[in-house]
Formats: sequence, C-alpha cells, structure tokens
Amino acid sequence: MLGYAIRRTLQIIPVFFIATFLIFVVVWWLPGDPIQAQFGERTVPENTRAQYEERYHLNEPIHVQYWEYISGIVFKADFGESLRTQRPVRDIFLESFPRTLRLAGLAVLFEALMAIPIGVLAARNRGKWFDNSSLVVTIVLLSIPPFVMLAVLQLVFGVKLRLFPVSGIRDGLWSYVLPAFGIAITTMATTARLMRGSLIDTYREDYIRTARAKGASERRVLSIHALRNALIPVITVLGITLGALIGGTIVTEGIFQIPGVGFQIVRSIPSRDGFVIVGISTILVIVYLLINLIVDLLYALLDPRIRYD
Amino acid sequence: MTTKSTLRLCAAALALALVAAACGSDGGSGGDAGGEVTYGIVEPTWIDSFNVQDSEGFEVARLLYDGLTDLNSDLEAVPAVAESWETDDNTVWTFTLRDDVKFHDGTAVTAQSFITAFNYVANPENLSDVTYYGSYITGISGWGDVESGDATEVAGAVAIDDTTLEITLDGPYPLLPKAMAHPVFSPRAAGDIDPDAPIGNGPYMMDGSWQHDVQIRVLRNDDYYGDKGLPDAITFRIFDSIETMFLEVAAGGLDVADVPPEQIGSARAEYGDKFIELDIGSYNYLGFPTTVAPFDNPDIRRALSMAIDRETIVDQIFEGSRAAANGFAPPLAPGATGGCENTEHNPEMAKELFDAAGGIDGSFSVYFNSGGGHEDWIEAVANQWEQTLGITDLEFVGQEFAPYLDVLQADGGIDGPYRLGWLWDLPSAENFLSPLFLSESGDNFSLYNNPDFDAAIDEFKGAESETDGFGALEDAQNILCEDMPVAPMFFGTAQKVVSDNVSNVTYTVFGYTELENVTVNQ
Repeated sequence: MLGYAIRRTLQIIPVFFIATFLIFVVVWWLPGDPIQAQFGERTVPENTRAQYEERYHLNEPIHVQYWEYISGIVFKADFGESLRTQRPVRDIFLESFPRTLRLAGLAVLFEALMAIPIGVLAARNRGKWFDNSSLVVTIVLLSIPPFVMLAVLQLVFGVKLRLFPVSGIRDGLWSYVLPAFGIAITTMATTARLMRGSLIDTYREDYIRTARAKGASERRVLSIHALRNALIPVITVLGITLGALIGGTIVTEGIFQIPGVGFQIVRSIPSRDGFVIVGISTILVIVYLLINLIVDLLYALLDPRIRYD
Repeated sequence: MTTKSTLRLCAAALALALVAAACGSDGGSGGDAGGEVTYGIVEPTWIDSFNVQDSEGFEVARLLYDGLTDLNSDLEAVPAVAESWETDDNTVWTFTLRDDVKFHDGTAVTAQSFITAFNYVANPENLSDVTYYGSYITGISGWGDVESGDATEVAGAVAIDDTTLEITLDGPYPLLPKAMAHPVFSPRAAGDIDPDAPIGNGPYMMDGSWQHDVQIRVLRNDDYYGDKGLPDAITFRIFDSIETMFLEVAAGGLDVADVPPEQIGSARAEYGDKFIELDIGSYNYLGFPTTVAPFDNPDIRRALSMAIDRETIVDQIFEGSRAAANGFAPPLAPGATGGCENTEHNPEMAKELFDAAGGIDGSFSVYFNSGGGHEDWIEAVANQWEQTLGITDLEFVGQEFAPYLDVLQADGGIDGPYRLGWLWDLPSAENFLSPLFLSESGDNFSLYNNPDFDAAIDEFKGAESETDGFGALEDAQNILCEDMPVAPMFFGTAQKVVSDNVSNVTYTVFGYTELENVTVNQ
C-alpha cells in the first residue's frame, strides 16, 4: 500500500508541471501587452514600464518567466500578485474560493434535496402521471439556458418580490440561496432521471425480491435496501457536479455578483492580469490533483486489486 | 439625529430669507445631516491616494483626502489644505497651509506630509500608475529624477516650515493650483499605510478595511476642518456589472447607480426627476494616421469629417445621451472654443473636397476596440461615408482593448482611421489638446506634427494666468480645426438614477457624486 501511495503521489508532479506550464503559456501568449493594458489608452511612462518589467520579469523569455513563477510557488508558496492592484493572488484566492465553495455546495445540496425525492417518487410511480409530468417539467427546466433562468429568478424573487437579495454577498449565506437554487433547478433533470433509473434497476435485484419475500414493508424495502444501493451512481454524479462548480460558476457568479474564483478569472482576462488568471488556475489544479490523489488512495484502500496492478 | 429641529429651523430661516446654507446641522450645504447612503461602484483599482486612477477610485478618495486645493463648480481652484498661494512667474509657487488640518489618526498635516506623498508617488518601487501627474503634466522639478531612480526626494518640493510649501516647476504652468486638486497630490501620513484602509485627511474616514469586491464603508470625520459631510456613513457597494447595479436601485438595495447605455431611454422615462444626466469632460474621436496616404492630405481628413452626420448618430444610436462634438474640447472645459466648421455635416462640401483631392484609391481599415459599444456608431459612420463619398472598400477591424492598444502603439503608427477617447486629467481645454496633438506627446497616435500648434501651446503655458492664455488656446484649436488630425465625434455624458431614499444628489464636473452633500430622507 505504501509503495502504491508513493508511486501515485510522485505521478502528480509531472502532471502539475505540464498543466501549469500550459496555462501559463496560453495566458501570456494572449495578444495584448499586459503593462499597456493597465494604462488603457495612455502611454506608459518609460520608467514605470521598466519597473513593471523588472518586478514581474515580463521582458524575459517565456520559459524564464515560467521558472521564476513556478519556483516562487514551489519554494515560497508565493502565487504572484495582481499586475493591476499588486494584491497577492493568494489573498484573492483565499477570499474568493470560500464564496465559490459556498455557492457550489449549496447548489449541490438543493439539487440532491429536489432530485432524489423526485426520482424516487417517479420510480415508484413508474408510468403514472407523476413519472410523466416530472419528466416533462425537469426536461423543460433543463432546456432553459441557465442565464435566462437565473436572470428571471433574480428579477422575480429579488427585484419584484424582494424576498431575496438581488446581488452581492452582504447578507451572508442567505445571499447564496437564490443563485444556488437557480443552478440546482437547471441541473436537476439529469440527476432526477438517474435516480429514477437507478432505483428501478435496483428494484429488479434478487435481494430486493428476497426482502419482499420475507415480508419487509415497502417502506423498509425502499429505505433500508433499495435506496442505499441506488444512490451510489447519484452521489457520484453529484460529486462530479460539485467538482465542476468549484472551478467557478462563471455565469451565476456574474449575474448575482458573487465574487468567487470564476468571477476573478473572468475579470482578469480583459485587463491581462496574467498572474491572477494563472495563479488561481494553478491553485485549482493543485486542489483537483490532491482530491484525485485522495480518492485514488481511498479506492486502493477499499479494493486491493487496484494497488497490485 | 437632529432632523426635526433642523427642519423647523430651516423653515424659519427660509421664511426670514436667510441663507439656506446655514441649515445643515453641521454647517454643510443645506441638507439634513444623518443617515446612510448606499452608492454603487465598480471595484476600484486603488483607493490609496498615491495610486488612485479610475473614476470609482476617485469617488472614494475624494471623500478620504483633501489636497492643497479643490475645484469649485466654476472649475476654479479654491483653498483646501492650502489657504492661499502665490507665484511671480508660474514656476515657483508658494502654498500657505492651514494649521488645523489633521489626518484621520489625529496627527497633524504639515508641509512635510505633502513632501512625503510626492516622494512616495514618484518612487518607482511603489509602482504608481499616476506618477506622470508630477512629471509629465505639471513638471515638478526633480520629480523625474526620483522616477528614474537617480534621487529619492523630489527636489522641487521644499517645506519652508510646517505651513509653507514651495513647489518649483521645470517651466511655467499656470494650471498648477488646479492640478493640485488631484488626489495623487494629497498629503500622506507618516509610516506604512495599509492600502485597504488608507489614512486620509478628508471629510470621511474608513470604517474598517476595504472588503474587496463587496464594499467600502466610510464614516463622517467629525474632526474635519471644513464643512462636515451630511450622511453619517456612506457605503460603496461594489459591482462588476452596471446592469446589476442598476437593478439594485429598483430593488431598494442601492441609493445611486449608473445607468447601462442600453437602458438610458427606459430609465429616463421610468425615473423622471430621479434620472440624472450630466456632461462630463470626456470625448470620443476618430483619429487619422496623418503620415499615411491618403490620410496625410488634410482635404481628405476634412471631407471624411464633414461627411459624418453626428447629430443623427447621437439621436438614433445613443438616444440623445451624448453630445455631437463641435470642436476639440467639450464646452464645459475652460478655454474650449467649439464651432469648428469641419465638424459640421456638410455632404456637398465633403464630396467636392474629396473628389478634388483625388478620393481614396483601394481599401483601408477602420480600427476600434470591440465590446465597448463602438461597433454601431462606427458602422453608421462607414455608411455615411459610403452614401456621401462613395467609399465602399473599407474593412472593420474590431479587437479586444488590450491587443488594440498594441496596434495603436505599433512602430510607424496605425494605418487607418481609429477610434479612441480621452477623459480629462484636470479641467482645462489644454488637457484635451497637449496630450493628443503635441508632436512629442506619447498619446499622439495620429502622429500629428504642426510646429504652429506646438508654439500655441507653449504660448499658453507661458501666459500669466489661465485666462490670459485663452487666446493661445483658441489659436491652437483653430489650427486643429484647419488640419483635422482627428474627427471629433461625441462629448461624454453620464447617467445616474437615484432612489426615493435620498435627495440633493449633485455632481462635480468630473461626474463624481458629491456624496458628502446628499440628504437622506428619513
């Protein structure tokens, strides 16, 4: 097990360098001089330009720039600073990431709370009106583009009815409820259908027939026997959704003005604030790599076949 | 709060025909003190005076800081920290400071506080993006040496004593007192200052730190030496999208917000007298590459300008929310002349000039930055060129702003007409002329070079006072009108909406809200 853990950990090193190098190159090869972008249509004074170039190594070849940057990360946990405001990228990330996590977490929670009961009810009433109508409703919700759905929710529940904050995060967790709900109802359809299908399949299993045969109540069959197994693929999908949302829910963060990581990256592109884009992306790469590592090690722990491969 | 008694006093005062300005409980500007104003801005780049550079930063910094001077509504410099100033030659200036001005931390503001600020701004290690105010715009002696790292102290700024500051310039500049109203010349407290919680000397002070992307809150400074602000607190809520900011006013989450360009028409109808429109010191132009054929021929440039029907574009595309440009500086800028004939729509004359000059052979490109709302009007201009002059062979080159700036800066300059704008640094027509058209200026993207124009600007700078130099500025604008290195297009306006929660919302000539004078309805 230890050997596998070491091998698996060493594997993430080249992946880290390749991924960050690609991000770095793509960002710094975007057309447009990053120093000029800070000054708009005004000429950059010569001395100021020289200062920027020296401080950020901007006139060095790209591989030198990359090395300066990555060695800062590896040796000093320094993810660079914003060209625009000179704020450390680490601070920007630590500020914005919890907001994205809150939004994504709440969205997945709402999705689970809606999709699982709908899927279960649909499976148990297979072919009946609830099954059919829930199919229609969830497909309709799925087919509405998220930005339309979010803007409508904002207008109706925020501006008109004033039940929720229209934008911003000044009301704590309450600020995240409406946008998270918006994400949840647009992504709910697939999860609800998956729950339904998975439960129908599980009901066909022998052990369910055994449970029924020994006289267990229908409620007990569902909650103790069927649901547990049927939930496995659903939870996997919810986990994947959470992962995707953590990368930044750009549209939602934009409409509801939630300054999460997607919001920071999007804002930094036109101003060519390269270190913010690269820095935040790099931290996200690290987060993904670590999560994958942990998951793989857990699998190996659970299933001995994996670690001997 | 003193609301009720103040109201009664006010009514009595008005009945007695006394001056309404005495009615604020703190001697403010006529409203009732108290309450909190919530104001929408985009995330500023900086709010610390040494690097304030965008309008949202100015909105905050003008409350946190007071410089030597301030500008009144007639765009004249008036005393702030300096109670008076004098000069014999517009080169050596002596400012006499008040002795009762304090920073928010209680320490005194002295002449040395300004020198600390100047040295800090000019120091290249601090990466100020606005250090050019000290060198390029005002020409304070020795500022450039600090910028280049050859000195650590600006030689041209000397504290004679605590209340006497002497500033020496490289050459005469009659606008120095106006320039000193810019936040970059604000005094700086001693020691390290947290850029997220700057210590200023203005009518409001920070309440905690700047919460990036969320809000900045400031509280009234009750130890302020001048007229105290009316609202107890002002919260700047930060938005990245003007659309959302605008929605928040309707939802009761904001008291004042900008209006997105596409909503100006509906906002004007919906908000009535709560819709505010004001002229600001900015303009848009179409520049010509004056060294590239056929644009090197002034007749071609005049014809292209005269073929544009600016009024129609303003009405149809901007719903009247801009002003058609009639000169090289907006009318509110002191010294602006306007009335340039070559900016008037004159299709017959345009066609005549165009044909006599041999027209344009082959195709050319028109450059602009995409995403800034310029596509529609540039296309309208091209249509008018086609209808009036028969130009059909042109290509639109729209680019994101950052790569667009590279094209403008390319060696040898750009090779076709290009869209650009200018927002003034200080309220004078000169600031629209020198940066864009002086032969040596880095912002002169049309590569215009006319020694007569340069001489006229020199004459202005050598004039005894700003108004004495107006003649020279008029000459300079006449030369530009004759040469048409650019076709001026529109002068800027700003649109805001305010909630029912506040009244007496007024603006400076820069378009900044005078939040210190806003009355909160209670």
